[in-house]
Amino acid sequence: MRRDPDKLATPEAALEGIAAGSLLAVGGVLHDNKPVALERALLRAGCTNMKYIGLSGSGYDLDLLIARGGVISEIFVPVVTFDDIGFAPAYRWAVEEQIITAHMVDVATVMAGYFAGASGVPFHPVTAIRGSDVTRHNPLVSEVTWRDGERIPVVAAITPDVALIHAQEADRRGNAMIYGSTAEAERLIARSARRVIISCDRLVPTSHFEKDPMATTIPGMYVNAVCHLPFGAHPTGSPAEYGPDVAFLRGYWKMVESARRAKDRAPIMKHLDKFVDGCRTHDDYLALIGGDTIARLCMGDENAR
Amino acid sequence: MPASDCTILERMAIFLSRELRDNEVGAWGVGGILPMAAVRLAQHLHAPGLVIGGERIFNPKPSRLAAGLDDPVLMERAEAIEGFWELFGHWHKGVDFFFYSGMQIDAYGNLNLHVIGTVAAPKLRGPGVANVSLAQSCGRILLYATDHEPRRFVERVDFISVPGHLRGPASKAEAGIRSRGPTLCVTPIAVMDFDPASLRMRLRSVHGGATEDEVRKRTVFEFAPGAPAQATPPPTSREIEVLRERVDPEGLLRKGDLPLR
Repeated sequence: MRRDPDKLATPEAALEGIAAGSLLAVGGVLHDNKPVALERALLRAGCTNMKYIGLSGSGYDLDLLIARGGVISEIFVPVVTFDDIGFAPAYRWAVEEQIITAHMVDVATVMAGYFAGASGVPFHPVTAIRGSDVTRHNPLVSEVTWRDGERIPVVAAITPDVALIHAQEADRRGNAMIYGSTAEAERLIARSARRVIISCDRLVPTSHFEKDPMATTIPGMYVNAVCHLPFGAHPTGSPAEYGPDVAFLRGYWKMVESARRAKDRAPIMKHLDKFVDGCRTHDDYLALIGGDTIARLCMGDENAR
Repeated sequence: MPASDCTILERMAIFLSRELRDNEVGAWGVGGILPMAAVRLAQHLHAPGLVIGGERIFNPKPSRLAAGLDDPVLMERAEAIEGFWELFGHWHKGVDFFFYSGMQIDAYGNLNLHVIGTVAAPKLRGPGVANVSLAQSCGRILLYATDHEPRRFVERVDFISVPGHLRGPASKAEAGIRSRGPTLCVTPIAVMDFDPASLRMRLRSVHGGATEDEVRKRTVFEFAPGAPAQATPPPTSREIEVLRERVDPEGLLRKGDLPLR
């Protein structure tokens, strides 16, 4: 586990050498705390046939990865949706066309898998999932025989090849602070994954963590790289920093949903050209989004919801 | 500063510190003043990137040695403090090193902290050990003992609290232990390591003031044959100076006998 104590890296350096077919774990839920800037860099890096596992739900970030085509081949996410905007358009298109496999999983089994992975044990039992067809199709679930012969559902340890996690604050040593409901889960992912990459809105000095070490979400020893990417969760929100860019999400959803109905990928390619490939760096992306938008999101744009 | 001026504990801390490398992550059981001194000394001398981690408290920079296990200095300038679960869950990547000691240490580095005699009829019931799993979840085990007596260094421990190499490679494989296990043992008179083939302890070096004959007499078992034992390089004046000024300014290692942690 020997590493350079200074883990500050560009997304390109942090994501170097990810093998095709890797299991990718992504922090955040729906449109909060998604490491989208890292995911855009992942698209630029040209990774292929990855398996995506999240927490309870994913929206824009997963839809965008799928929209590219060839990047994601299997998905282990309980809920994929744009919430009140609508179903995830590129996701349902690719699943209905049978281009990708979206496994049936529930959150208890995903969390049990991370718990086993983080604990270094082969599996974790989950008992309250019997009777659901989700369990019948869930590839994460196996069974063991317990003392009196009872069959107990268990989930094999999840040890992702790469984890992408967005934090509000991090230092060069890899210590990270996440404000938000998912912090506990992201702490588990960080212990489970083989390579952990953090994006942070703010790069803080190590003394920031020394003031209140009990509050640190992820100790630096679990982290391989820290990428300083202000507004790096955009267009999803970053708890206590900025809200999701609902106007942007709606615009994306309308565009992909029409593309799906028309069976014409051209508008999707245009979106990718503009927001992913057209931005060589994260600064290019922020310039494209514009300071006014960022200011609006930081001030709490309730009207856009 | 002459090396002969060092107390036994200071010498052991210095010898242990030489075994730690830069950018490693590791820890010791709470209250272990000797490992704490070794780690801090290594950080000040040759391993500035060495990080304390794996025992709840991540990367503290204590300005003195801890007087007990509740001493707040153990958390001084820590960057993160994990929960009880992380402390005892075996993280699959593990830490690089961990320190252990024992009431009995045997020829294969197995440790006994539970029972002298038998479980049914103990002659001495020891304290036990909180974490038996670090031996298998960390990179290597560094053993130490604050005395070198026949009652401690036995051919076979009465009870295996923490497995070392069991009875050698075959028994280790049979038990499913894949970690490297103990690599070193430091006592007041000698440094031992382990024969790579048999995994049996062998004599590496003898400290100044002791003789090879004395070490063998105070060890019940026969060491694995190896190269002739060297003299342990004595503490340098720089090691002593940094230990006293920056690691242990209160002189806890100079206060004579300390209880074994």
